[in-house]
Amino acid sequence: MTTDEILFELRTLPGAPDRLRERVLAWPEPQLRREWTLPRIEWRRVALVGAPAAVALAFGAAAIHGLVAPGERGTTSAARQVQTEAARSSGDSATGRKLTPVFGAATTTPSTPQALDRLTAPPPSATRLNRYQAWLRVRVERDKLGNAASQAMRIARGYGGYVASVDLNTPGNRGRASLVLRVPVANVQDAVLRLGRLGDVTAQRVRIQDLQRQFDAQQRELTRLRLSIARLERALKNPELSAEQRLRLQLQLQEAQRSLALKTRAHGKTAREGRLATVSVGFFVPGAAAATPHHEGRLERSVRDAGGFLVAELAWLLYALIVAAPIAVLVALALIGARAARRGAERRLLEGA
Amino acid sequence: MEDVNAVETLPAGRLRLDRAPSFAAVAEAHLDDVYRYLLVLTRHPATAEDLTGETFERALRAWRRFDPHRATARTWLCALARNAALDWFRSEQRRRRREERAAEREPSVEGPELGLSPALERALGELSAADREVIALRVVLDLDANTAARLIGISATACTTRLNRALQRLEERLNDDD
Repeated sequence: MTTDEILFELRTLPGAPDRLRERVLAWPEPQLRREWTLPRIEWRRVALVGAPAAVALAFGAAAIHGLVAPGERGTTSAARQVQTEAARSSGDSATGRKLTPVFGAATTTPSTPQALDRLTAPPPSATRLNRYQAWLRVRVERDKLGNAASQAMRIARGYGGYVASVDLNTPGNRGRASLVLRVPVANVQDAVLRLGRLGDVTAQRVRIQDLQRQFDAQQRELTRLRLSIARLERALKNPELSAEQRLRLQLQLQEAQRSLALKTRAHGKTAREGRLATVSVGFFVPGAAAATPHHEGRLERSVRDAGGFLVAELAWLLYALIVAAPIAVLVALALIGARAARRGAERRLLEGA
Repeated sequence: MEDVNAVETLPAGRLRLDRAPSFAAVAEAHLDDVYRYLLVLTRHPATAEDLTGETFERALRAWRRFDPHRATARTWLCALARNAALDWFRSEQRRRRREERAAEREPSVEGPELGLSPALERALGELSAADREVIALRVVLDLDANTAARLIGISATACTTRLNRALQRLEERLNDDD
């Protein structure tokens, strides 16, 4: 029997019995298919439409965010720039210190570079040792910046002080000069007032810290150490000391002498700080104050904010992918495994039948 | 009568029906196909008749879920018939195991009459159900390789290979009988 004959015969298999046909056709017609069920999801179409839609949505959200947000951000940015400029001009960048308010500090820092009505310089204490620090931001004419810096240095030296650092920068309109001056505390009030007269003071800050307690404590410690050294030296003169005792006393003496040297240096430093005030002066020309803060246009701010929003969206997407990808892979593997197991069981069942 | 097979002539992925066919029309058109498929698969006319009835009962209950855009009515019915046949094979397997444990083997009965020549029926009976299934789908129902493969759960290539081997075995059995 050939294959064609087999195929022909197989295709002549009888159909269903009439009684089965009658039974099935006698059943009532069921309700129409899916009148209210959810539409079938075609993943290919979803991917084709959904991916561009998601991208458009992301860009749209970023654009809306860029249009809505920049008003607030612009204000904050401008304020921050003015503060930065104030700090830079007052010489903080040169000394590396921040303009942080402290107890007992007198701060007068306007948000815009307008001249103060009155320059104040609180007097230092006449009876106690103080750390006196002053910051000034002074507006000068463009062609007088170098002269103002020179005069400021002369004022410091004239009062018996010295110039700790100078940073003079005059490229075009962006002229700035930052000076850190050390002036005897007794003359600091006069020095500040004279420095303020070199231009228009737009910001001022004075900080006075008490050093007397620290100075006294250091003094007492020095006295104690000197007494201790004298006692050890006296004890070492005793000829009845054993070698071990002598060695121990010598070590104690060396330690006390080393400590005395350190404490003496610290004491001297405190005394110097109490004698010399630190005056930081920042000179700037009017054009520099106007030119330095770069005020972004609305479009520029919108684009920047939208870009930032897009980057945030991408970061979240990446985060979600990193978190969800392993889970999705596991689920997919489980589904594939379950289907393969079911197919395998069916195959074995049919091959064994 | 509605032309319920018209949808099958359209290329895959572009199947469209303006309106869903009625259940009666589908049953009328495909009752013989389902019966023949089950007949070859089970080799018992009575079982095939029962399973065909069960298949159409399942179809009636699931008619609301039938989507002509996803598969033709015949493919859908064959999938239901296959599930019904698998259930039957499982219950048969359990029954045989019980009988083997009780050592009460069922007395051998004469081979079923499928309406084919005795030699072909005997040769068909010596094939596995898996081989008979692929013959039923590809030869008796004349399904294309992709549709049959999707129903069985294998690739189209594997389906064609299985069909060729099944026909080769069938021919060998018949030639051996000669």
